[in-house]
Amino acid sequence: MPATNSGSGLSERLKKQLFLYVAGALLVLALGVGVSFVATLFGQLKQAEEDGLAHIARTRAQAVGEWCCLARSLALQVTSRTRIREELAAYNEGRIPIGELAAFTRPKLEDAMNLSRELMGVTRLDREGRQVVSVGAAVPEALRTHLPTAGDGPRFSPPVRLGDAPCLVIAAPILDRESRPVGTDLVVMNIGRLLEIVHRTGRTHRGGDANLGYAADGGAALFPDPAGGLPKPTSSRREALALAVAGNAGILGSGDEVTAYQPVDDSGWGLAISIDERELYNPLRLRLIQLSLYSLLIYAVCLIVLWRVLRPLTGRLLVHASELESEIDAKTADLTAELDARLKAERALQEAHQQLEDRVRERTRELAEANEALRQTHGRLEQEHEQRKLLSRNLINLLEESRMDVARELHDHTGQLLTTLRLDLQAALERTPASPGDGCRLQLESAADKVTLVQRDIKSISKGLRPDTLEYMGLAQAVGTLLDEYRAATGLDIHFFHKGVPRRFDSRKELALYRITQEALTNVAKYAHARKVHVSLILRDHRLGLTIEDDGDGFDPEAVSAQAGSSGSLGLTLMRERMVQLEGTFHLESAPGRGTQILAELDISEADDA
Amino acid sequence: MPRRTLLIVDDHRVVIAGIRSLLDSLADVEVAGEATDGAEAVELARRLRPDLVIMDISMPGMDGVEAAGLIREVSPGTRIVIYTMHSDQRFILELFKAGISGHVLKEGPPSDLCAAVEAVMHGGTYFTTIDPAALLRQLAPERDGKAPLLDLLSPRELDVFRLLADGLSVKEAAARLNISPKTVETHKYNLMEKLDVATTTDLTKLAIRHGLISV
Repeated sequence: MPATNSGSGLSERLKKQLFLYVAGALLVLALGVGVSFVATLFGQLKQAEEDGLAHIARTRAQAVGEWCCLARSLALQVTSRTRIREELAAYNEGRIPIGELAAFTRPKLEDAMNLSRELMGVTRLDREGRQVVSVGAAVPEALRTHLPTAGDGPRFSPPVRLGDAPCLVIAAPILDRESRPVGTDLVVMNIGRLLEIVHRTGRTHRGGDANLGYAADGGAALFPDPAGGLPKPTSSRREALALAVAGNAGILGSGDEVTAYQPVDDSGWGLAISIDERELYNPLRLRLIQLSLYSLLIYAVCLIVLWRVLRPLTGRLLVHASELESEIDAKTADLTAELDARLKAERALQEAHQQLEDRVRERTRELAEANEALRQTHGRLEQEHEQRKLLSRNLINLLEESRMDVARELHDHTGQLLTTLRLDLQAALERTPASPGDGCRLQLESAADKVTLVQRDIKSISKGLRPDTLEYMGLAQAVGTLLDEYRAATGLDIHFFHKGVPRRFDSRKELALYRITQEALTNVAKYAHARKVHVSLILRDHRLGLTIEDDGDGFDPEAVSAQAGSSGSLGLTLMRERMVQLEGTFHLESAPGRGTQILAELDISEADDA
Repeated sequence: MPRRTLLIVDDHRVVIAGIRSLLDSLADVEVAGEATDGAEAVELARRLRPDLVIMDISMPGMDGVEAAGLIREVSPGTRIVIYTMHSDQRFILELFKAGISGHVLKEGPPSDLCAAVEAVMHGGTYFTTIDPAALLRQLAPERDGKAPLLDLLSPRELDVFRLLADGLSVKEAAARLNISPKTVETHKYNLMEKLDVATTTDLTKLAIRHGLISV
């Protein structure tokens, strides 16, 4: 089953990973502990080794010291024979001659030679340092002078070679009972055994080069080795010996050699034991490596145990994990289901929204279309309206122009001709002698009267056609004159009020207001049966208002408008059109029995005229 | 007596010629110049300082009324007789108030013109149709006196006056009269102009004074 496979694979993987983690952690831990531990351990072991070396140097120096004691006490044994001192004192006082002394001394000294095999010879000197007698190996002259005679105790000379044997000379003062020096014994000692002591090996499992040195020239000179050769010390050894001779003890390490140095008591000598660095420390390193190997082994064992232990542990972990996993699966399934549901809901919502938007868009389009249709209709209507306006303007202009033409014709030609005709007639009359019953003169007078009548008629017609009063009197006076005429012609009680009307302004507007008044009065006279008429022309903020009110019968404006073609209807239409053409307002109110009110208003500001 | 200088102004040369031949009969006048429009007439009057100008009213360009005013300005000593076909009473009154000395109708007998010239030459005035001075005298008391103030108002204006003086607003008055508020607004303005009052309060006072409303 794939699930099992994946489970066991998972277990294996988990185990491996856990193992690697723990192994890694252990390794890091072990390394950390090991490094700090080993470093400390190595330091301590090294110290221990060095201490061991120092100990060897110390014990060796003690052995050398013991030898020195022995040698010193040997020398003192030689010198401390009472008889000898007495004889020497006697010699010194001159009581006995040198020969006697020598004879006396020699056997004694020869006897003394038996004290030790190392004793190789004795030479006795008197108080002044003259040789009294010499037994055995002779003391070289150089050493004899070199020796101190002042006496605080026996003193050692530097090593010398006498024959084949390495020796040294002990100068021991001979003292009387009052401890006054009476002579000096120069005891030659074989230092073969000393050198053996110095160079002996075997006390430790490993050796080292030991060197004995004495003070010389501010540093240290070396005793020879047992074979008799003079060793050639390295600089570090020389330095260590110099330190030891100066009375110091310690360890001196140089590159590849470690040297322990130690002074020898009561001799002025120093001992140095040098050992190769590798020889000293390698065992330590070996042990440390051994230790590390043991640790590695333990680590490996731990790993194996860990591996064993991890198997059931991972199993248990996996059981928990699979439980957890199934739980997670269940939860995930729940969440997925919920998410699906939500997505579905969202989609549904989106669809609904989309539908709504579609509907809105459709509706908007319909509205836009309707709007467009309306706009087109409106445009068409406006166009028609404009055309009508244009038409009516043309009609009004045509009407006025033709009236104007006729009036001008009458005035300019006919009128003037009549005037001159009458003047001519007048002149002719004046030249004709006044004789009663003269037919010619009567005819002339008749003709002149007829001309006057024609002139009057023409003037009346002309005035009706073209209100020239506007030109020379202005609107207010012209309307006043017009009203005078109506008053006179109809007997109506006409009241006229005007205020603020400019004398002249836009002649089209003057004419329009004049014509409206004319038309309104004509209507009143024709139809209204009114008694009173009120006309007013009042300027109010650049707007000139004309009102015409009568107290007549009144009428139904809609009914009249409906009677297209009737003269009354045409008159009203013309009045309205005149105002519309000039961007003015025209308002008519009437009802049967309530009279008629006409309100017309025009802007007559200059800006509007322009 | 030196001959009087004369200026004839008319846009018709035929008329000028007619007047010339007519005035030939008068011994003590001399035609100093002729003009065919108002502007030319004013220029000539300024230059010639004529004693008299005989002038038409209806002329192209500057008309006679305007030209008459200007001539009175540039040559105050010049007297003016209008020779025209216009006979409107108001017009003649206006001319008289502007300082015109005579008005002769073209349609009247030519002797009228001669008589007018004679009369004006001798410091008088001559008006053929009406006597403007008498008319003015007759009109004056009517204007100044207590002409019934409310006669100025139309019936509709009276209605509006009553309602507004009674404290109604323009809208309320419009509703009451069944007309548009704008119309009422116009009536209100007009009647205030006619009655020469500035505020609605004054209007109310006036209404009370004339017994239109009771307190």
